Amino acid sequence: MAILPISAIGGVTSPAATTAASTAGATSATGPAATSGAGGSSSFANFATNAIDSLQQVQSASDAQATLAATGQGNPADVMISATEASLQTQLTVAVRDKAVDAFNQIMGMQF
Amino acid sequence: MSLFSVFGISGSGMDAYQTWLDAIGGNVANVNDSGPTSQPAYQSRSLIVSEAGTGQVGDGVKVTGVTLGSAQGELAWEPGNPQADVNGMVRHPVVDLPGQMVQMVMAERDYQANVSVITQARQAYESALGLGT
Repeated sequence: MAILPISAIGGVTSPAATTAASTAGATSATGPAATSGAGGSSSFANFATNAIDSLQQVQSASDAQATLAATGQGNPADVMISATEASLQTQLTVAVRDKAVDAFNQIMGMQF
Repeated sequence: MSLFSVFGISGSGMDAYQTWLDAIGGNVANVNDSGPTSQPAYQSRSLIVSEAGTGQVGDGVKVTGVTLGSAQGELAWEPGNPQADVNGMVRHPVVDLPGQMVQMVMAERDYQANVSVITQARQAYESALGLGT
């Protein structure tokens, strides 16, 4: 039962959720067939897209620092700082995603 | 200003104190230098550290310059030294070794203080993230 509502949420946040699946490792956040209802222009979709973009930037910075340190040019402290930042940003993004999915599931389960 | 800007701020503090430790290390390493009197002595390095940015909350710190100590040094009579001049004098740097040791402790503690800020901030952010569960 969980697959159907999670894939349907792609209609609201399709650009963001697709990016989430490829960057944050959020498995099965989108189904293959996202509905074309609301498009990507709602404010939540913008928020989610921005969150994913900033997560992408933080993770790229963390990767760059790790590469520098591995090649002997970087600073171990900077590596740990950017890794901590990337970890927190990922946790935040996943927490918001979970909340959104939870809210969507509650609405889908509404009985009239 | 990013979402977790305290990491950048305290990270700049860690960088600054690490640079300070580097400067102290250079001074201590050169404490026993000797040279001919025709050349300047090793000049002990001390850092100029000031706020980065324009006075907003969230500015870090940065090392803006290095001041050099006396190039005069002090002359010592060491006729056996191959660098000695005709009067048997060589030039030694003036490095305040006890002062450098005290500064080293200060730099080390301040570095640890910045690490503590990062640790506490991470715990605070994690407890905020725990609100949703």
